[in-house]
Amino acid sequence: MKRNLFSTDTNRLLSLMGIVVVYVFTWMVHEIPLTAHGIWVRIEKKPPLIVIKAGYDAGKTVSDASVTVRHGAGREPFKRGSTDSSGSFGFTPDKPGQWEVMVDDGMGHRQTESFTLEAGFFEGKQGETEPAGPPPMGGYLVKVLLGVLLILGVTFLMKRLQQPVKRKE
Amino acid sequence: MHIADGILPVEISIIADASALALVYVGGRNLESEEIPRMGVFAAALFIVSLIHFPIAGTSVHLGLYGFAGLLFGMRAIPIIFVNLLFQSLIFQHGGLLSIGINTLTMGSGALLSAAIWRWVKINRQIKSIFCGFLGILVPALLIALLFILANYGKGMLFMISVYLPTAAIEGALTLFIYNFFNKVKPEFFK
Repeated sequence: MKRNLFSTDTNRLLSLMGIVVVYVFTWMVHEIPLTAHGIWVRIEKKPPLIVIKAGYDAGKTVSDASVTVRHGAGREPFKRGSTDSSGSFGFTPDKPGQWEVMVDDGMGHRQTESFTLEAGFFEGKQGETEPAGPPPMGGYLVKVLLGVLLILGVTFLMKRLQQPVKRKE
Repeated sequence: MHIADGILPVEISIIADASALALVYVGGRNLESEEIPRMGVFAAALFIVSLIHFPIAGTSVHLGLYGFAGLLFGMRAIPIIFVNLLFQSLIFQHGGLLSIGINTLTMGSGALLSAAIWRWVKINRQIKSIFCGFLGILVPALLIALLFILANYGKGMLFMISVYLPTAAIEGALTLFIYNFFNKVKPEFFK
């Protein structure tokens, strides 16, 4: 007997969601900007400069975003400024230790990154440089699937809690 | 459109958290058994849709479907939006756990307005769905802009309007499309 896959409400909803998942996945594979817009911040150590690069998760740079640099536990900013059209901002630190950079796009998106500068940095030694770019898409997709599964898991739990399991006599 | 932690004063965030939890309780009480899977699947769909973003005016905006959530679920949209924001915050660090209340209230306002329009405005349903989608995201954006002004933060109301008007237009068209789809396959959803 031929079964109709779209005979129930849930199947219809799941099929619509499936279409969206495939759509999102296809766009991700083709690296078309699609993912949600958290901000990533990368620190590049280029003695005597520190270069900050900021972008949205999908790769578009965050231009004209305010940048606040702080040193150690001090709450007074060491430097303030804003990113240029390529999402970059540079400053010259004056001492080793823990530094903190906060990037804010003025639309409610804010990201803070901390990094440590060793004394060697001030002797011109190149520090480790993280590649500037959005996080890998593969990890992002795993997070998307994790979120969907968690939401559906909570739904399943709620449904189970509301419907006590009937015990067989 | 999330407000990250630390932008608004902590006192306001805590009051908003308490208010949002109360609204989540009101929206989620007396759930019928068959409502739960539908709400859960829609929350998961909302989670994915909110990851679809596009660049406008040098910034980045995303779809919300709060208007459609409102017209389909009414008050039940509030717990759906809360769960969605909670997992976005936990998994993607979008928004924040302290600001989840203010985000739920602002985005929920779009859903509630949409629910009110759907219930009480007597015009063609397709036109109504466009209005619901349009206002479902524009109203939260305006509320957030207002909060930003009060907190002396951000780029101003005009900037937010210029960014979110095109987004609202897209949401309006998308809501019409989704309404037409569900109205065709499951018209009793809207009775």
